[in-house]
Amino acid sequence: MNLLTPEVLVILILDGIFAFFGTVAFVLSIKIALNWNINKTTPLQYKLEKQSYLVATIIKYILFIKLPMFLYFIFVQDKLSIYIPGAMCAVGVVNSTTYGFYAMIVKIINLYLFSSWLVLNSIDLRRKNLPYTKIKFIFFIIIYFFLMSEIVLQTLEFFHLDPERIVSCCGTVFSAASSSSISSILKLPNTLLVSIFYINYLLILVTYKLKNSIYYMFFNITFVVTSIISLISFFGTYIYELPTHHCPFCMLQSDYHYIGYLLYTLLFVGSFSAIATAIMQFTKVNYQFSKRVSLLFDTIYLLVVSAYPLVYHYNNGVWL
Amino acid sequence: MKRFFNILLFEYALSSLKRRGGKNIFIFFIFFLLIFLLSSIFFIANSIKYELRHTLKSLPDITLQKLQAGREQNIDISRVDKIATIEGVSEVTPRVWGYYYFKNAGANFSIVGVDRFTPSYKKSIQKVVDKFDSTIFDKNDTMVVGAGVKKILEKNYYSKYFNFIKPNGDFKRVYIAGTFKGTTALESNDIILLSAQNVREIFGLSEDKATDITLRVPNPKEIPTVAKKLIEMFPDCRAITKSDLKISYENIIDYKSGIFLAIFIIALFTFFIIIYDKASGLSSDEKREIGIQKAVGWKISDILLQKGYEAFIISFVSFFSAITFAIFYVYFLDAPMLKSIFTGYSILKPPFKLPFVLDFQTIVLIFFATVPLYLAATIIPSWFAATLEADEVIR
Amino acid sequence: MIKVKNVTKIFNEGKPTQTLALKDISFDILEGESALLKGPSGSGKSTLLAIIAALLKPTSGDVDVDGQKIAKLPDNFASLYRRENLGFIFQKFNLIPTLSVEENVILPLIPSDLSKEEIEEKAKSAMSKFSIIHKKDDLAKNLSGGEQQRVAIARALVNDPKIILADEPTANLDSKLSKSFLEFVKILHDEGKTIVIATHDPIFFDLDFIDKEIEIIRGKMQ
Repeated sequence: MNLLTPEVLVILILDGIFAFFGTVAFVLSIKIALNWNINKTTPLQYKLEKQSYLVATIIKYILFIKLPMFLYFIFVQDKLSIYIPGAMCAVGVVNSTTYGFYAMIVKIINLYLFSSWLVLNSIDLRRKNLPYTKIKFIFFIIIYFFLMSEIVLQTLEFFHLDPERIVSCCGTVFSAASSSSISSILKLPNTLLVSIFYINYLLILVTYKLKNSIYYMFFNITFVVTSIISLISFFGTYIYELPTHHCPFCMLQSDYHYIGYLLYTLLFVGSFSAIATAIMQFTKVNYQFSKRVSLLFDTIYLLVVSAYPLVYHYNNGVWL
Repeated sequence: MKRFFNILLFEYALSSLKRRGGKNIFIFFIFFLLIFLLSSIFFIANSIKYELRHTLKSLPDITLQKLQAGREQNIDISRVDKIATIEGVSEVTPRVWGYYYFKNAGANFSIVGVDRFTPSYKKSIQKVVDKFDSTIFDKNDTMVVGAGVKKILEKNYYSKYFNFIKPNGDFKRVYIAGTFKGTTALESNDIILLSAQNVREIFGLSEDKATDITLRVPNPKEIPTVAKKLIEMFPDCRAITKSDLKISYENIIDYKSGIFLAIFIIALFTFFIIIYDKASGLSSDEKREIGIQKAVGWKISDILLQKGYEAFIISFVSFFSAITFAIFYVYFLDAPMLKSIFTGYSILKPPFKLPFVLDFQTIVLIFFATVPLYLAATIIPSWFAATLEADEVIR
Repeated sequence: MIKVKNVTKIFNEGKPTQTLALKDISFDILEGESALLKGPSGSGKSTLLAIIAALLKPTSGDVDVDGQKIAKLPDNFASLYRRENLGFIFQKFNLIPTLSVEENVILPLIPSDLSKEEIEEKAKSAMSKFSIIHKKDDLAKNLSGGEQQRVAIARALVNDPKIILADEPTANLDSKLSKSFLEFVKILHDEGKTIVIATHDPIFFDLDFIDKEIEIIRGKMQ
């Protein structure tokens, strides 16, 4: 508990607020999911309609705070690396406990889930018979468990941070020499990983034209995964101009002009728009704009990330 | 034609706040006060840590002090030779210094002995010494004082010299040959530099003794080992390392910040409840206004958006003005009252000014600690207002 | 235009304070007609008006307005219906006293998608029409009774509604203002608006431009 710095404390307090309001929303969601019947004219039904606005407001609030909080969270993890021996950036901190990595993954999933809920909510309110109300509240009941898992994992991570224990930093976690699960993927040759990345993009282009956007969404989700893997193994090294520097966090620092923020934002918006497209198509809403945004952001990501090795080669005549 | 941002709705929210001035000013003020206190404390703590880091840089790697009955005693100079044999020690310097209490001003001065031939452990003091004519420190009756000391002496009508009272009751007049400003305020303000001979005379210290012995150990990794060896060599002493000092000072600051933070959390809860209560209590006029809005075609989500804008405006304006005020209070007014929580009342009677250390990270931290909480407190009251039954209020 | 079908409203259903406000009300009002809802105070006519405005949901029955079923619309659609189709004139005007005339008049349009310029245009034309534009920056609380009346009507018309609903519009007015209100109603009728007035003021009875009179006593149609 020596690491209860003010930053950690603030994150925990906000998690507490999310837990409290999330639970309120959860209880209401159960009530609404069980009793909702748009055709009834009972006072209960009208009460439920009002309460559905409260749940929507709570979810908007949580997402609204969660997005900047996520960036701040990464920054705090980075800052904590000073106290944990061996850690030189956020990666070391996240890896120093068993909970860190999972907390991070669930956090990212929650960003997608909350955003998807809001898309579904806005579509629901466009129809006079509010057709997706039951579904969206059942959806929230599921989201609630993800939210609470994130908060629990996060809290456990903070309380298990040990300034006495030495951990590995990103240099070893992602290097080909270590035995962590991530590095087993990175052991694969770069040409393979990068090819998969570009092929994934081609598949996105192909499925863009298809009528059923579920394939488009699918390849966008895989695109996030292949992007991050290729970023860590290949493109990142050109950002750092160091063939052994495989780290997804260091590119968020000022030394690299904070390019990490741009790249991850592009990935998130691109992939999320694809999910939104699928939702919209499923609910028979016009999804063209969303689809175009998704392709645009995916493409810009591809261009920016490809520029690094090309510029390096242009300046230096060789590859790393 | 769809607009991304409804400026009219935003303006309406703004006008709504102005029209309910009393209640909103109250909420604004509480929030303002909260952020002001929190940020002031953080700024002061940051400044002091910065000061300390600079002061500490120039402290000796290891200070050897003789203890008797738990109290510091003067140490034999003869030990210096033995200490020099320890591996890793590059310099051993006995120091002659002490605190002189000037009763009339209620202030403590640090008297530091300077020897022309033995360079001071502290680079900054050495720099000052080099600046002045070295004969000052040979002569028996001249000294150089820090800016804070000069001020106090002048206030007490000593402008060209000062009369020290020796242990036997006799006076020793020492002339002020010059004034200096240190690199940090903590250092320079209460220091008087004069020859080691003079210091011995003022404190009645014999020739074979020194106040303490300082060591320079160039390799920081060897410091703990050297410290251990010293204790083995001289069991009646303690060896204070630089990191010991740093940690103990920082712990005090963090401890005090920690207490404050704990109080602050309680304050946050109270604040939450107050905001909730204030925001929930709708006057009949307010209810009527919402009823009219709904009757003419405002949706629940429109009213929620209006309330959201209201909450935003109050919290953001509050936040920025409180931070600005705190900067002014801490760095221009030098934080009266709050500063003493950290610095204590007696030790540093000569005043020092807080250095301007503005940390973006701190401001972001304060933002996340306060604004989301305020917004959270308004969620339920806003919803409650937006879902009022219109037809009841307009009859 | 407005079809009220078997509307029943019970307040506090299931509780000891249960009251039957309206029972099985049905009538039609055609486009361009002016109708009176007559009845003593407490007879349920304000409740009926609120139901037509989708401010209240009936316990049973339905209301069709221009082909649209409006009685059980969820809140956001009900509000949209009001904003696009209705102009509401309340008892006691119900202006917001601390807002100016212009701010009061544009109130219904603020959350809409119209641009600021369009809204200001509409407000200007409504205020001119009722000769209140010269006072557009004055606070509503500083206006005379007659001026407030005109602001209330301008607000009700700023969104070009097809239907005007008025709830006891002359209840707190002296005879002069009541007469001027009648004038306004005639103007609106001549413009082809559908008008429904809930009132027990005899000034409205047996007027030639009132096409229908519906009497409600103790919640039941006569």
